[in-house]
Amino acid sequence: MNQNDQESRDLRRVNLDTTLVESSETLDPNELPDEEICLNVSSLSLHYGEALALKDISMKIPRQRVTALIGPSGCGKSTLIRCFNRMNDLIDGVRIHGRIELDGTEIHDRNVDVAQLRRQVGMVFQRPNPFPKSVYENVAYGLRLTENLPKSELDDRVEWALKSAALWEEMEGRLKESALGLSGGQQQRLVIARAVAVKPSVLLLDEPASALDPLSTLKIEELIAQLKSDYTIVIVTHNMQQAARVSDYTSFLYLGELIEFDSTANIFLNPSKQQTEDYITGRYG
Amino acid sequence: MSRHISGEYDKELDSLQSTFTMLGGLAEQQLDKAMRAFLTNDSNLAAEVRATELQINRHAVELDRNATFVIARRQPAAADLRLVVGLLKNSTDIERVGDEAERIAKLSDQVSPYDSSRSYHSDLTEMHAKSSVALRNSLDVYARLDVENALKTIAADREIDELYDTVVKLAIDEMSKNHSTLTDDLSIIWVARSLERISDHAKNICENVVYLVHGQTIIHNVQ
Ligand SMILES: Nc1ncnc2c1ncn2[C@@H]1O[C@H](COP(=O)(O)OP(=O)(O)O)[C@@H](O)[C@H]1O
Ligand SMILES: [Mg+2]
Repeated sequence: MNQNDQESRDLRRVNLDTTLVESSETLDPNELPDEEICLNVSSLSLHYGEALALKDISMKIPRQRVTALIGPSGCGKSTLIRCFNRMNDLIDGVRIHGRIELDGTEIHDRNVDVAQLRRQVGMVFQRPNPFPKSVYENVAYGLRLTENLPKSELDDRVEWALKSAALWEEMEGRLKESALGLSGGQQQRLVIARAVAVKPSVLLLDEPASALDPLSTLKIEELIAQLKSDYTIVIVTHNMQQAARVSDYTSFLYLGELIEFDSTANIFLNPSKQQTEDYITGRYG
Repeated sequence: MSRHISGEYDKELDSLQSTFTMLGGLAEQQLDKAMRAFLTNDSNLAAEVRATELQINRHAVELDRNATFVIARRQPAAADLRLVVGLLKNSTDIERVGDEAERIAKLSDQVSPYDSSRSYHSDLTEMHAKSSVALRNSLDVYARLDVENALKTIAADREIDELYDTVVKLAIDEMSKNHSTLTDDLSIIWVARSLERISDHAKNICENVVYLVHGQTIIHNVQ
């Protein structure tokens, strides 16, 4: 990153003539006008042993919007997204400082039930990971653990979840088949149905389409667009065009730091940081 | 700006830019030749302008096609995207400059030899000089991404608009005084109209450059 580049950028911004209009003012990550905040991250740092993987990250993730986390491999996207449902607690040697509020409640508070948190904040990974069970049982799995529903209600909820994941039409006659026989794209939507079944408020998607073919990828993206009316979605993607297509807000992370957070339109049309520009235009060395 | 990781991408952008530079150069020549053809009643020169016009159109179509392909292929973002979009817009403006030059060249075949003793002569000459400068500046502005000069050129467009009003008024006066030269005086209005449009295109190119550099649109016809 060239310091002079950034300086000349800043200068250009400041020297704008008054005839300029439609200024796309950069969003302060701490001020999101007209948005309800779902996740509020403040001064979050994370160590793996001695290694600092996240540095003093503050950002607000708006409700029922899609927020994309982009950045080069190893910059901390997965680490950050795992913080939101405390998946990093499962890793030895992890130390976390700072705050993450979900709907105003600090998720690290002692009285927070982590299992309950993980239902509220569902997660989908890069590789589809259905259980070696039937399609039906995959979706019903979480429900059986948490809610004691009579059979007919369970059926209804499975159907609803499969519909939410745009999978019902394909699966209606195949509910008893093994999930392992589905295509990769179907498996990924099944995993999303499983996450949705327990009615979370947040869905975390860590590179959900990177193992899928282009058509299945488009289906997942279409699904994300539908799901955002009911869920707050945070998606990690290394595919910048995907971030541009599916998200409302984008965060660019680099070496564990949040470099820029802004509306996706601003990030892709006119980012305010040189580092962001270099990354999204393919100038990263 | 620094180079892309993909050298091929850099080459594609460079090639778009050089096609545009060539187009701009052709358009400048066209304006110059068309005005000379008109003022000296040179029909050979007018024919040359018409032949070159076909060339400009062909290059402009090629540039649009290539720029569109770069968008499909590279999905440019940020400054790169603004560059390609700006190029597409600018090529339309340059192509229209060519159209206007051709229009002037055609008029030269339809009128009697130009009479430099007419009342509008000095204003028309000044208009020609100023619109040539505007066109030249707009190409410079684009080549150097020179926002300061862009804003100056945009502001100068007002003078050309005023000259246009004057030429039109003088030509109408001439027409009301002397009916025998009606067609010739009317053609002066068409020439002035074309020059005025050419400087509008130059202004558009300058506005596109401001967008390219700042990512912000300047208001059209700003007062
Ligand atoms: N379980 C772990 N133990 C130790 N270091 C880790 C662990 N997971 C990730 N890291 C390190 O943390 C940094 C960020 O990794 P990660 O969050 O996976 O990045 P990304 O998802 O952006 O590719 C990397 O340097 C990585 O090596
Ligand atoms: Mg990752």
